[in-house]
Amino acid sequence: MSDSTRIISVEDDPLQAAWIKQTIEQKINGTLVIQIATESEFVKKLPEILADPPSLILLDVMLRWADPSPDIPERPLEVKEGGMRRAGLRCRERLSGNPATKNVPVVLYTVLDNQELAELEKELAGLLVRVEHVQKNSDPKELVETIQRQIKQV
Amino acid sequence: MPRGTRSGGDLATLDIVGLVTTALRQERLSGLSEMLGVVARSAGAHACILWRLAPGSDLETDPPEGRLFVLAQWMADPTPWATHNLGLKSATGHAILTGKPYNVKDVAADPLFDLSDTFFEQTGARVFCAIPIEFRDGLKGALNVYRNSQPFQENEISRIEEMARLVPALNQTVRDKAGSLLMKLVSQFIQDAERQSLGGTTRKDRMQAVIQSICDQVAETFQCLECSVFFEDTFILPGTFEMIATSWRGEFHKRSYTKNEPALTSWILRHKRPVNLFNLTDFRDPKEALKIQKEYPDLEWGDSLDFQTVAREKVARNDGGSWPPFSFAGAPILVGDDVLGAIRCCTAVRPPYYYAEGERELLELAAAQIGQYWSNWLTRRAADEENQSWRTLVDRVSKMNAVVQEDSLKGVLDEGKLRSETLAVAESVIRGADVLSIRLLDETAHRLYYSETLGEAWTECSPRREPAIHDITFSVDAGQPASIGAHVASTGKLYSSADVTKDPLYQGPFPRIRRIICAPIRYQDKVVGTLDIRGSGPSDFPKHAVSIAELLGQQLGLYQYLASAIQDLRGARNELKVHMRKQTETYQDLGHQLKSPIFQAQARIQAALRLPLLDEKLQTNLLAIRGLVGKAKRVSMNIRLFGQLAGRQVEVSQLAPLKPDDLIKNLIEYASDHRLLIGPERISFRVEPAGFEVLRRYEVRVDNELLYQAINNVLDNAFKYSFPKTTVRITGGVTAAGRFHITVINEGIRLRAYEALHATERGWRSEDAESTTGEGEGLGLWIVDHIMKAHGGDILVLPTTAANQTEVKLVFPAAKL
Repeated sequence: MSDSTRIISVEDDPLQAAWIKQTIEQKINGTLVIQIATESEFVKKLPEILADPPSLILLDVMLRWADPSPDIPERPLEVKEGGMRRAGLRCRERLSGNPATKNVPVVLYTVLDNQELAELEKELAGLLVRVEHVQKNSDPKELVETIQRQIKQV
Repeated sequence: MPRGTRSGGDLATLDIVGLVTTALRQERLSGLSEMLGVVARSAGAHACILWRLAPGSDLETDPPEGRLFVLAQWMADPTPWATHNLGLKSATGHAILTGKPYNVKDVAADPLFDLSDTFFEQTGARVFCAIPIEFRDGLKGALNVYRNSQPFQENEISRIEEMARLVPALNQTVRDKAGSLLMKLVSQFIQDAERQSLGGTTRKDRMQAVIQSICDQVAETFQCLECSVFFEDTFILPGTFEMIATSWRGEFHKRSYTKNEPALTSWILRHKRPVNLFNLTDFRDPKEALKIQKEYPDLEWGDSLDFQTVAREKVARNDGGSWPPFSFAGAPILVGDDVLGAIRCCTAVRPPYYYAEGERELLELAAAQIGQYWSNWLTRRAADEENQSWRTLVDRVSKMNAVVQEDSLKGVLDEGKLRSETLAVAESVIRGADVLSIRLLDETAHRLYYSETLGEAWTECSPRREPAIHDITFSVDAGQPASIGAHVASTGKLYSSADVTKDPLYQGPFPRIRRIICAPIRYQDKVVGTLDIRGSGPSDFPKHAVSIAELLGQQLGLYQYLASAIQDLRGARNELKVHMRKQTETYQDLGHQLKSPIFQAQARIQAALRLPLLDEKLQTNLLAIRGLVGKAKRVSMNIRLFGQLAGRQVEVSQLAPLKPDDLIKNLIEYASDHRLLIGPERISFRVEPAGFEVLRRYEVRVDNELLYQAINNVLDNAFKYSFPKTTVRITGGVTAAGRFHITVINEGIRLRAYEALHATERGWRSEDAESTTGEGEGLGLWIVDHIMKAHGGDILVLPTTAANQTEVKLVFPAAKL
């Protein structure tokens, strides 16, 4: 791996976000994990991501729209209707819909099991983005191996 | 004779004026007699009789055949003497045959005098003069004047002749006026009755009284004893024409007729034609009977001839003299081509003893009016019956539905009772419904079986039958013997037959059943049975019976649907109860399973943290783990409580005094854990211990496990919805009402005043919180509310202030130490 390997981690749990960053940067040499905490932050940073796509995006599925603050951005209709359970999938859709990021590998890192995820996936079937699904687990091995495999393919 | 000084011509003119004036004054047939009185007085006679040839007389034959009867008479002596059935071989007959007056100067010496005629002997008449006349209808007759002595002179005969010439026209005038008056009165009776019926009454006795008045009026006009009206009442006895009213005051052997009897009334009903017979006694004479049969084919008089004797007694003729003709006139009462009944007249007691064509026409006119009145009455009665039926139906169905509604709420719908009640309703609102049943479809066996029955016939029939009625079934499978029920069940269409005996589909258990309405009972487009309404009586069901049966079938379907829905609901409820119980137990079991390892993990973490010289990194990790385990414990506890709350309230297991030091220590530890989970750099916290010192003066008894669960749930919200770089404050104290409180104040997402009221509802989130909500189902404060209630306390959620602060107070009962 080169020093230029950048991974964007979208995770709204601070403890998990810190653990993910620490684990990946430790286990995969030369990797920089950039953290995004909420869906609104992802939407805000999307132009930057499209301009300079990362090597991989690690996406939680259930995400808050925003952290509490006096100036929370207004939720778009799709967010109001879809709710936080589809936030990660919406992020993935935003990536796959753009030529710059449609081939960026995405790893869904979630507590949802396969069946729950499959139900959500039906709604977004056919999107071109390469997706793998890793269940959140205290053993980081599977996550690390999946990330390595995806990056190698690229 | 009082002639005064006037000339004969003057006298004749005066007499004629008198005759015309008298005739024009008359409105009854009896007025003819008054008219003859003028003639008699003018001629100085003590009697005057208007003779007329009887129908059937033929003057063209050789010798001429015929009889004469009295059309009208006047006697100075009011005794109603008259000669009757005078033959043509008489002085009067001679005058008619020759067309010239015949003057009998002495009856004893006249060759044409009939010695057997007792009239002259009894009245003392010795001379008379017969003046031939021709009536307006072309029939011949004679006007006779009689006196005791002094034969009529030529000039007298001339004067009588002048008057006689006017008699046919005046006779017709009097008859017309009498007829006109009769029709006027009949119209009046009917109009009055119709006006009264606007009030709504359709009582039969009122209707009969109207027709009785008409009968009496006709009898008076025709000067007869009997005028009777017969009608067929299809409600009661179809095919039988019952006497509705009669002017006859005596007994009747026969008060009803069918169309197929050897009787005059039956003939009228059968042929829808009027009958006019000169003399009923002609039936005894084969030659005369043949003539009658020629005019009225197959007409018979089956009534007893004793009737004639009775009639004569009424006339009080026991003088041995000849009898007047025993005439009969009758007419059908028609509306369109339908014969509704008949009107008849008989037993004339005064001249004219015969009903002429004019009378027969009058009778037909009266019949038309009576027919219209009867028809209107029947229509009104049918409408009344229908209205009453619908009213009763609506009333009883409403009551049934009220019971159904009440029972539905209790979940105990008694289908059998409803079906029985429906049959009772059908029986009460459909006239003639006497054998009723409900058949239900056995879907497994594809057959209909009797579910409910009503009517005497069932109890009469069942014990004798083999198999018993209730064991009889009707297959609805194709290829099986067809039945009406199967037909209705398979097509879903209502079946109605006024004469089911002709339908090969009928295979029911009652041979005497004549009509059936079989309505489908359906719900959700599925036929589940039939409502069978049978009638064995003579009259048809009313027209609205089909609609009522259809409605009751739908009603039964609705009950069936409700019963089925209630049964399903009951089943679902039981299933849900079992499911809920299982779910509750599962939640609680999971909570218990989590409790032990989490407790163990916590204890070990605490022990590790107490170790001296702990590596800083390790300490940080341990604190994080403590926070995570604390969260796991909180969530597992919420699972357990959620399980409990699915069925009942939170149970407080063990109450112990709350110790301030423990409380402060735990509050700090919990707040610290929450801060760590949310990101230590984002939010800080402050536990203000001073407020908890009151616990040294007040006793607050709590279930510690539940208390800390409540505090943690409140803290979870406070940290979750706080703005960055703010502080969560935890204070305590005693309220003005002397209750202990733990208060958590945070600065963050707005909670509006109206939203604060809903904050403890399950699954509820404020509008602004939606954006920042991640995991969780909105159960936290709902569980806290139950925990506080279990302690006899409250949770107070105070809306956000201007400083963006939101307060949540946990208030407990406290006892001063």
